[in-house]
Amino acid sequence: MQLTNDPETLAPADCSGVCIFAEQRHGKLASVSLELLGEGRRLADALGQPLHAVVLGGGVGPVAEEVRHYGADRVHVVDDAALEHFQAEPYAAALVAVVRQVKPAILLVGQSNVTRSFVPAVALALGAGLVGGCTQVALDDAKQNLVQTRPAFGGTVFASVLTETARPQIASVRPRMFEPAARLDAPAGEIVAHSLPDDAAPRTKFLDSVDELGDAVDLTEAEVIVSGGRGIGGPEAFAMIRELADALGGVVGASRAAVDAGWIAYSHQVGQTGKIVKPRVYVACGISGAIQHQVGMRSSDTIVAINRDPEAPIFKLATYGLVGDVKQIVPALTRRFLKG
Amino acid sequence: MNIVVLVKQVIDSNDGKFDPATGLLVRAGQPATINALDEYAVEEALRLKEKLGGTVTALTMGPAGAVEILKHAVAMGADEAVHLCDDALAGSDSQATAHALARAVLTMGEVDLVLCGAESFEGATASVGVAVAASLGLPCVTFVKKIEEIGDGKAIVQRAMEEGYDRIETPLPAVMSVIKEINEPRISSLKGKMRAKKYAPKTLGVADLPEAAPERLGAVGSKTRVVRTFPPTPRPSGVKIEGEPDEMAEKLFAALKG
Ligand SMILES: Cc1cc2nc3c(=O)[nH]c(=O)nc-3n(C[C@H](O)[C@H](O)[C@H](O)COP(=O)(O)OP(=O)(O)OC[C@H]3O[C@@H](n4cnc5c(N)ncnc54)[C@H](O)[C@@H]3O)c2cc1C
Ligand SMILES: Nc1ncnc2c1ncn2[C@@H]1O[C@H](COP(=O)(O)O)[C@@H](O)[C@H]1O
Repeated sequence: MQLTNDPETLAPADCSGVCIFAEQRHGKLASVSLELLGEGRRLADALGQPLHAVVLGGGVGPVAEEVRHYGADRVHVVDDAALEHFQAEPYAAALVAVVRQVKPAILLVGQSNVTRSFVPAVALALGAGLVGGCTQVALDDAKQNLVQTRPAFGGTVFASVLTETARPQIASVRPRMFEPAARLDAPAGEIVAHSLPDDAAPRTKFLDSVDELGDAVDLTEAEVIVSGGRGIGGPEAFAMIRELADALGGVVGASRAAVDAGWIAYSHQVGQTGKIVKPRVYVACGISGAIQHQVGMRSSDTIVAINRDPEAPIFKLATYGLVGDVKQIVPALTRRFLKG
Repeated sequence: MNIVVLVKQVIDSNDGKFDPATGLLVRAGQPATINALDEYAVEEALRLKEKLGGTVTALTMGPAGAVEILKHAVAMGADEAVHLCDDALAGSDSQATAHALARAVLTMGEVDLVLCGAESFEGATASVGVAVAASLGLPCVTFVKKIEEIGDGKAIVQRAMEEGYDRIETPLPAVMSVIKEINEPRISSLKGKMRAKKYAPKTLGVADLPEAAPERLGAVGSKTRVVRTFPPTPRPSGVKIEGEPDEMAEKLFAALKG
């Protein structure tokens, strides 16, 4: 083992502008990237400085082209076969190289398993600060520092954090916090091609991947989520949950109890040890609302809870509480929403 | 296989308190426990040891009280435990924490695998493991939900992603962060508890860390600083929707569409 040497830090005086990481998965731009382009533009305009976007991947020309429609002044692209399937080492090396050239004052990334797997290494290599899981970012009065606000303890307290001495200020932002950038008909912004640094060959090897969600969108980006818990009674009851989700144009979530029972794959779990979600509408069916579940869904815009126990903790969070049997209420809801 | 498991002490409560003057978490007087996912990391280490031999060492950086979670790891079956504890480390952010932990790992001789939890509850930055790996110059596989194969200097693991999982091969030594799907942690045996009771973890201070840069440790070495903490805006109180299922459906439809 060998320690990495002290990082060569960027001089704050040399840094300006806002850079966002435009994450793509399988050639599709993650929706959080559009949110970052929207927020990045607002920050860049407030600073009177440029907005940069970075696209990493293999064969991502079309994605970079698409990013040009969302208002970045410059779209930096590292297009390399080594980046085709996500691996932490080449991604980190590529982003570090781009940041060293662009020298942004602010770097925004969307919180995802991809960014959480490599951005901490980027921060380390740059000797920069990283604030994870932000729900809000804003410039301070002097427009010197980015006030990065994030929840802690499962959202029971919020903390505002500054990165005063190091640049870039790296903030990882949760999905669905910002208004996405609007798509412009005409592409703008120039593409800047970068090459992958020579020493970026990964030591890990990507073998293959297994998709457990099928065509459904990822929960963290979903507008509507219908979740089933132990109270739905068994694996077959997820058919009824899925029907309601379909009727609402949403996707299926679950409590840990349902996942642990083997009724549905872990990728659907919402909560402290699952996904943190913020849909427009969250429907909790037969879920008691344990604190570990609440942590994952309490910031949803509207919460609907269906539970036969009127004392269930979930009702404390619920915008609309329906006391009764899920087996009767869920199909009734499906029928009503299908009717439109 | 020699395995180091990173375990973190977290406050066993859902309302963290911060010192308004320093912006730092107040740990004193708060019930503390092992970070939930770290128990899964300990469990995985023990299973690997049972299969392949070797040693399991639990490592934590934290105040004096953090000894308790090391004892918990020992009660579960860890062979040794190391406590990195020094006033100079107070107020470390995740990068400064990683800087210190990586150097503590270096004092442990030949290490084949470093396991940690994917994220800690109170901070949930999910960044310490990745930064420890970067600091040690080791490959890192995050969100591991299954170790399919391990041995002969390499491992094949499943890494959870939003849509499912990727299968990744990594050479060893490596750092892996685990999620709860990986196993079900055991209940400590009576024998383990007895051993833990008498066990005194080895203590390390900053002076014991090789190549530790003071300017990168503790509050001084932290690039990020908490300047304000505040409670979330409370959710508006909800309404009950009553009646027969079809009536409820009608009312909810009207409420959501309206
Ligand atoms: C470290 C740790 C991490 C955890 N992480 C998570 C996490 O990420 N996500 C998570 O969800 N949990 C998590 N948990 C578990 C959590 O504490 C709860 O055990 C879990 O959320 C309970 O799931 P549930 O609500 O489906 O089941 P239960 O608590 O059993 O609730 C079932 C509910 O269904 C109702 N019900 C039963 N039958 C019907 C019916 N016919 N009609 C209507 N209602 C009915 C009951 O009244 C009850 O309220 C974690 C726990 C720990 C210790
Ligand atoms: N102070 C610490 N001591 C030991 N391990 C830690 C410490 N902080 C974080 N970790 C490890 O890093 C993981 C991720 O923590 P975090 O980056 O805080 O979300 C935890 O699950 C622990 O395994």
